[in-house]
Amino acid sequence: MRCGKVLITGATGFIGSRLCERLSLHYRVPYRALVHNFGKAARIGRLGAEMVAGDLDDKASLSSALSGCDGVVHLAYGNNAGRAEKILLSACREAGIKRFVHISSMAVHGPNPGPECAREATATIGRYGEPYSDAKARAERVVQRAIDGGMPGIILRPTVVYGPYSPFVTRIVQDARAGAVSLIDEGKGVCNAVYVDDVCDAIYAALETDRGLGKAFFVNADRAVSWRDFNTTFAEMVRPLPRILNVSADAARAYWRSARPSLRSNLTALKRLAMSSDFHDQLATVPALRSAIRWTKVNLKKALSADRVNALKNIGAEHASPAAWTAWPDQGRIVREDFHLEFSNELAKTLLGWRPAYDFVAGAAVTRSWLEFARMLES
Amino acid sequence: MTSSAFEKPIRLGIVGCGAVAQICHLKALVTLRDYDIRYLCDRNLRTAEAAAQLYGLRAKITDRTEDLAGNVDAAIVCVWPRQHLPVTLDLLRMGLDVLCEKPVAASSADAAEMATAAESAGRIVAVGQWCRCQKNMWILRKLLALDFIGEVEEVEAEFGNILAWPMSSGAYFDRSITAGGVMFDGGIHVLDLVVWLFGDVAVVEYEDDSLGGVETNGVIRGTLSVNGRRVPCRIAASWTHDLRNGIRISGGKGRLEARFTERDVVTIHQEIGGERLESRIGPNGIAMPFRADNPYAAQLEDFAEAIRRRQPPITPIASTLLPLKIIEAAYSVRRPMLQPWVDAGPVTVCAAAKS
Repeated sequence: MRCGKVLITGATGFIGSRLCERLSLHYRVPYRALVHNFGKAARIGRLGAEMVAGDLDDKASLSSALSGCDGVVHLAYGNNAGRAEKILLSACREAGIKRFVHISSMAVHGPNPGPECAREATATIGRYGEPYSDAKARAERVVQRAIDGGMPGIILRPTVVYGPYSPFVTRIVQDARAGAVSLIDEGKGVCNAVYVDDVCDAIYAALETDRGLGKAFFVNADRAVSWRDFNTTFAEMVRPLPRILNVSADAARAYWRSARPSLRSNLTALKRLAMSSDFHDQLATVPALRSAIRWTKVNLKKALSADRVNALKNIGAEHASPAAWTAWPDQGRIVREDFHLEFSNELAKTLLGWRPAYDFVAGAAVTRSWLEFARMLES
Repeated sequence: MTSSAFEKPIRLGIVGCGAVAQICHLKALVTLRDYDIRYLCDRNLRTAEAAAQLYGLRAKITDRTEDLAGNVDAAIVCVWPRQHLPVTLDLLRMGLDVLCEKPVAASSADAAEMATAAESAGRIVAVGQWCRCQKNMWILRKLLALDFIGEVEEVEAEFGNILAWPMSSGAYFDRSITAGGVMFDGGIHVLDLVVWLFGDVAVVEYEDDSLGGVETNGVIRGTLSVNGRRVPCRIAASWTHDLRNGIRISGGKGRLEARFTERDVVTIHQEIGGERLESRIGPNGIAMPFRADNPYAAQLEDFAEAIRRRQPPITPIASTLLPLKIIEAAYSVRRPMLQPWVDAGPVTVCAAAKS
């Protein structure tokens, strides 16, 4: 089918903003961007894109945004996964939407998928106890039920999407600029990296073709790279070259288990809040509290020694030390990078008529041009 | 000097109570004794109420500008740029002094109309170009006057951050409401600073990244006239990434650098005897017409002083026309900025699959 106007949810995000650029400049498809937070909309603001305010919790705003559209690309992801899709799909049914393209994720197969997940026909979706995977799986199940009930839809499961503005890339470059980048288990994990333009092309194909209706597709490059290659490629664009550190996945998991909230960590956080000057400033906007805070500060200074006052000011400061935080990869990284399965993209090629245009070297080169522009690298 | 505790506070109204009023002006106002905030006016009453609640103000809430007449001495205008002209003219007709947010107007012609109206009414119109109210910029001006780095050879001024301003609509990106993109935001701040220090910029070239909407990155290259010599200058602004955020002036005997984040320091880079030296100069001993470190508070101190003494403020409207004219000149020679990551890549969907 040839779509008319398309509503894009999540239009101000990393993939959404690039999709808007491609729709405006390359695909020439009319679209409307659903915007939850206009403060993040600068990148699509430069396109002159049609923007409407909307909230996935608010069906009335969605119904209004869908007016005049016959396609939807659903990229938004938030805290209400599953519920948000139910509301959106209900609005889509009422609006008579002719094509619903849901952007899911390879994460629906969990943090440690078996080999059966390499191809769509045998790939399973479950509950894994891992928040991101579970949320994406919950959302996809809702969409799949709607498709089974007659919604003309296609599900795309992109893998690790990178490119200009990618948080995966900027995290590496920021770490490298700070002096060190970590690898998990020597970076031996499989990185199913796919360049953002290839994902946009797959979305465009899903809007255009009828051959994949009702199906789910992996959107992946032709060949995976290792996480060592992915991390070091971007890290080594930085001068001076950063140190490359190794962290074992088991040790990182053990660290995060030990870092779960305890009574002590809660008390420390409360003390830190009580001593925060930003918090005092905010409280001081209440006139009655303003004088009370001033009185307390003056009298505490009189009553306590200078050392004791400084000690109070520094409560929790040891926990805020960058060194303490940067040593351990966050839990999302552990899930992504301790990963050992390469996904196939054959079905998308066969049915959607899509081809990835970028291998990792080409995608990294384009990304580099943006990193230089954005002053994250010396040009 | 400013704000005596014995002087009667100036009765103040704020017109437009959105983000800039709440985050910048009111935050500074509640630290000063110069003003008595009497009215918060916004076409959306809930926005005005939120502003009052945020700072525990007992000001009257209204959506009618005319309610200010006779009830306040001065007003701060924080509405959308294209509304600056009609709102300011209304306030001048009420006999009020006005501090108008930047950009003072959507065009230099509108700004000139406002300046003429202010003069005819005998009222003060100051403009929210806060860079001129930051201590290190006064230090910088003094060092330039003292010929600290010799003949000026190059000037670079940049203002860029990832845009993270709270917004309730897409008006920021709508040319029918705002005047332009980042050049009317961070761009006009650095441009105003350069003009304040050196005078007019002759625009040689300008590029931005607009692809049909407002620009989120813009760069002006031009020349200044310093002591009769042409000096190259570069002015850049960004909503997508961090820039240097300050001004850098290179001269025959060294380089001066003042950043927006280090409000009372100018850094001097010099090479003496083959060694590179860096020194930092603070405000001690340099006369300034305000006391506050926060430039918004300093600007409000200066506005109060201008009202009480009936003297020109640091940022009189007449002095803010030139930066607008420079942006207009830049837009007239605009060329697209190179963005290879935007243009890259063919569309890789086979025509055969489009059934």
